[in-house]
Amino acid sequence: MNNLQNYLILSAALFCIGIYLIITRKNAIVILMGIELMLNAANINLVAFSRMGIYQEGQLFTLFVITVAVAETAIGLAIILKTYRLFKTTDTDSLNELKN
Amino acid sequence: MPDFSVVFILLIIGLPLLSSVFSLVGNMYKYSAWLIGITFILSFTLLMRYQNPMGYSLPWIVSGNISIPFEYLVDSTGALMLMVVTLISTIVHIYSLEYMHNDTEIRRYYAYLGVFTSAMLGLVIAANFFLLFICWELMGIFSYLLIGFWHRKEAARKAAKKAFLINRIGDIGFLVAIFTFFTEFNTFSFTSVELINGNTASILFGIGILLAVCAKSAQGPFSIWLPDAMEGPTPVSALIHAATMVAAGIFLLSKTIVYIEIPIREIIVWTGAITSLLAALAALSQTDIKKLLAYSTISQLGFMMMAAGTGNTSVALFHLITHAFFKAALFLLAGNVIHALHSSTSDAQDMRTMGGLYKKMPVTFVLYIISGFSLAGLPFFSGFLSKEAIIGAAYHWDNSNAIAITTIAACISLLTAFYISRQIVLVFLGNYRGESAKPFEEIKEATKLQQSGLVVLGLFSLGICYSPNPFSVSSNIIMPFIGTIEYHLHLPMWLLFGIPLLSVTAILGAYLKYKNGISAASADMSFYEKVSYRYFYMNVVYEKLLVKPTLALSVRVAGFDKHVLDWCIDKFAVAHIIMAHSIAWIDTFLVDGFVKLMAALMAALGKRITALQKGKIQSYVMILLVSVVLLLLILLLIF
Repeated sequence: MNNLQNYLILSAALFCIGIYLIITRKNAIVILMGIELMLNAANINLVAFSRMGIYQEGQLFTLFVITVAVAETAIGLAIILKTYRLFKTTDTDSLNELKN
Repeated sequence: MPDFSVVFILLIIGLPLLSSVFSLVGNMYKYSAWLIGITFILSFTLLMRYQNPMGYSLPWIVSGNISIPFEYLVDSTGALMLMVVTLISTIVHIYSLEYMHNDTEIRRYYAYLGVFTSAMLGLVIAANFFLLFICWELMGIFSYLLIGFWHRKEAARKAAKKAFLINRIGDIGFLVAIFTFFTEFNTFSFTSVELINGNTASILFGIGILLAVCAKSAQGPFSIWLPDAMEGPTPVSALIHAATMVAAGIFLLSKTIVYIEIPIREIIVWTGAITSLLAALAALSQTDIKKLLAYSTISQLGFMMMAAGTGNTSVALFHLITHAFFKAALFLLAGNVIHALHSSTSDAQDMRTMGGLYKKMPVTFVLYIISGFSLAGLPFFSGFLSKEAIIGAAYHWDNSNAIAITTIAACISLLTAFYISRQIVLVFLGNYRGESAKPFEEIKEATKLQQSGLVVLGLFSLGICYSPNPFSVSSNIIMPFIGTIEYHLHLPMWLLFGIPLLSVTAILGAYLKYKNGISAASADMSFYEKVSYRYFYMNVVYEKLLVKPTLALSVRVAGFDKHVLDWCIDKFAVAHIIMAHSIAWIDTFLVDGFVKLMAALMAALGKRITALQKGKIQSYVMILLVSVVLLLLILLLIF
């Protein structure tokens, strides 16, 4: 039980780092890394609660999350690759054609 | 006869109007005398076959209870006056053919004459005040038009204005009198028999009539227009200012004297007497032929006023008729002289440059003597009969001042004899004094046409026409027509013969004094001569007292109008413009500004909102995060 709190803090910390990366970093790949971090933070949360014996299906759900994360990362990378070919840069600040 | 009489009356009034209209066309004016002549024959027939008063009345103006019919009444006086007026008018029309022969505006002249004659005839037979006033006004207007006939001459214009203005003052009096009459008797007709029975109207009526008569017949302070009216053509003076228009005043007086109270009648008598005396005195020193005759007219009208004021209207009308004939004759004869002496360098009317004309103009001379002696009132002439009748009326006047009035009348008779013989001597006798202006050989007598009319007038100036007995004023063929049949104003013998004898003395005196003419310079006139010549400086007094202040006032008022009123209007217009400008400013800046403000606000708001869409994904994520956290917080707080 004591450990639960520690695991949750860890999860929250990871989540915040992930958000920090999304918001602050310019590089598109780093944003993807941030998304991964957020997803993994949610995973940790899920496993922590499942270990406590409250929610047994947590671990199962984690597997689903990992799968979705993988798929989503693959597609994300594909999009970034395509964007790079078009704009010749991965800098998100220069992707502002929707501006105004 | 009743049916014919209406037609007669219509023709008598209508033919002069017709002649007036026709005179304006081409050369028709030459025949206008024929039309007036026919009118004369008609009125003569009417007179000869006169039996009873005839008249007719048509309903004309009806308003509520007031009804003013269009009514004429030809009584005996009316019939006689019709004949007299048409006769003199015919003679004037014929005379003017020669006298105005070279005038280019002769058509206008005959047109005026025709309407004037018609108006006078209408006045004589009008039966109510309304019609009388209309004819009165018409005559006033035509007097103005005819006096100012030669309108290019400034003196003529001024004289015409003067005559009309003074006439107008009398008209105010007349209107007041008419209204008073109506208020009292509730009708405008003065021939209703039931009124002529001792009912007198109020004092106001008398004063009004007095004013009207004085202004029209040139009496009292209103007499100054008549001498100036001599600026008109001489035939006009003969018709208007001797025979008809000025007599209209006396005629009105005779019709209305029954309604006038005794105190006013006394004023009338005294006004007539004093005016007559002053005018006779003024006539003593005149040098202009026509002006002398004008003053004589004023004097004789004063005589008539005197007689009418004593209540003896028949006597006044008798003198009116005789005066009409001999005065018209005198004027037309003076016209003969003026026409003969006409030259471009001198004044043909100045008696100082005449004299000895009896050799060249014998017919004129004889007729002048006849008419002149008739004016002077010598026996065997018509003037004697009428003048003695007037003096008799004054003598028998029922008043304490009868003797005074009789004396004044007698004096005036003597003065009349003096001044008219002075004129005859200066003009016809002695030696010709005007050689420098017009050589004696060039003077010609008047044409036969002119002479014929004048002979007729001269005949009527003789006494035999009126009464078989030359010395009796009672057996008179005119009297039955114009007044009471019994006529009992016999004069005492010494008065009847004394005055003519003194008149003869006056005539001799005048001959002796003036047979050598008078000097041409007016500078050596004595004081009395000057006063008389200038008619007691009446004109000067009026000029200073009335004319100058009125003109000054009118200049002031015009200045006020120009500077004050126009200034106000200009400023008002400026105020309007200022208001318009300010409204335009409000419209441009406030109203449009408000709209523009709204538009700018909207644009700014829109800009702010579009700023949210920067196209940066990360800012979208940021906003998403912040809003989720906020929501969680709120949920947490609530639960």
